[in-house]
Amino acid sequence: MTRVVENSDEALVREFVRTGCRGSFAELYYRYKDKAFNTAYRIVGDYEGARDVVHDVFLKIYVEAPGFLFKSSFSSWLYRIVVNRSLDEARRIKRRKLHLSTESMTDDLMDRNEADEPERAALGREAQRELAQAVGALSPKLKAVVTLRYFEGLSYEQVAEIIERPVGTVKSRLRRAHRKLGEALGEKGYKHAQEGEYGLLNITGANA
Amino acid sequence: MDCSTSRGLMLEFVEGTLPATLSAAVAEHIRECPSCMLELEAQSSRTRALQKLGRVSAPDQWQEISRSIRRAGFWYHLRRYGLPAAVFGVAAAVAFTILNALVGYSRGNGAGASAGPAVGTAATQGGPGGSREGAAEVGTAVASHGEGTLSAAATGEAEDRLRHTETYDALEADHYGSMLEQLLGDEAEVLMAKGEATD
Repeated sequence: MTRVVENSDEALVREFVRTGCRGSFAELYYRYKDKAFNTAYRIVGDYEGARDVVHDVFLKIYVEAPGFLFKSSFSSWLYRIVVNRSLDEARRIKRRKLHLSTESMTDDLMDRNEADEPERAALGREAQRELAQAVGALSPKLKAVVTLRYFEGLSYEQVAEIIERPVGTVKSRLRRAHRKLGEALGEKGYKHAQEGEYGLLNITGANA
Repeated sequence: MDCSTSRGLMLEFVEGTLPATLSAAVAEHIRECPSCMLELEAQSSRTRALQKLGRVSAPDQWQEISRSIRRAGFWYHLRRYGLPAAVFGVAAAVAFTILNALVGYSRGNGAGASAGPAVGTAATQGGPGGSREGAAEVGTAVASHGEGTLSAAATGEAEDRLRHTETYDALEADHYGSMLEQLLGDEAEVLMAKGEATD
């Protein structure tokens, strides 16, 4: 098992495809379950919907791994499947009008966040709730870009590869998302920043 | 740099992904523009807040995924290995059947083409010649030897042709004799008698 854990993602995929080793596949699942679930949860906005997405994603990976050509990294492939399946799920929920209200989803997220990571509460529950609510109100495509860039910490290029669009499209979607968030939060973002809840950017230190 | 350009570059500026020269130009504009300064602070605070929103811990779904994999295993393996094998098998069976039919047809046709006319000829030629027994014999020979008894059929045909020729010659001689009698009447008898006398 130690050998399996030390392997790269691609080596695990190769081993799984070659030998059918369930252990290699389980290792891939445990490596990526948090990332897959969080991405799905942010885009879909529903806990059970995100569970369904993750379930389907890993089943799809299991079935399609023999056809994986290693043209991109395994993580990019996985994120792409997660994003596409999450967008489908978001559309399905919207069609069936099962969409949870943004507020209830945000409360749900905040409760889970605080239970999992109490130190996050220091950021300010109210500010976080408002921001999460504003993010939840974005369109699924904008949510996908915001999630990959800010929550998953991927580069523009990685996000572009995952959503299969140029880097320019990623940046324009992020700008649009910021504009919408700014409209939704009004002056709150700036106010919270002044209050030190989010922290001010050191212009000269970070960017000059 | 004007406000529009500055705000267009604000995202990369906040995230620190602008080239140094552009970053310096934006910073210079922002220091002199209170409106852009406010926008910068709002955007940077949002960005930091988004990065700090944190993650939820994912539920462990391995058991249910594993069960689904086992359930899907049959179809997965059928799709991966079974279907191609099945398609190949069906294609091979169809090809074999077609090939077999073609070979059988050509064999049957070849035998029929050589033996068939021989039988037919024997039957038709045997009929008028009065030698029905010969035709029946030939037919029996062909039937008993089945396909490929070409030599027997050919022999029968030659024999039958010979019999037919002899019969025809006899008929022709009788026919010409009677015609001569009708045309010449008594003269014929005279001529024939003369001929016999000459002979």
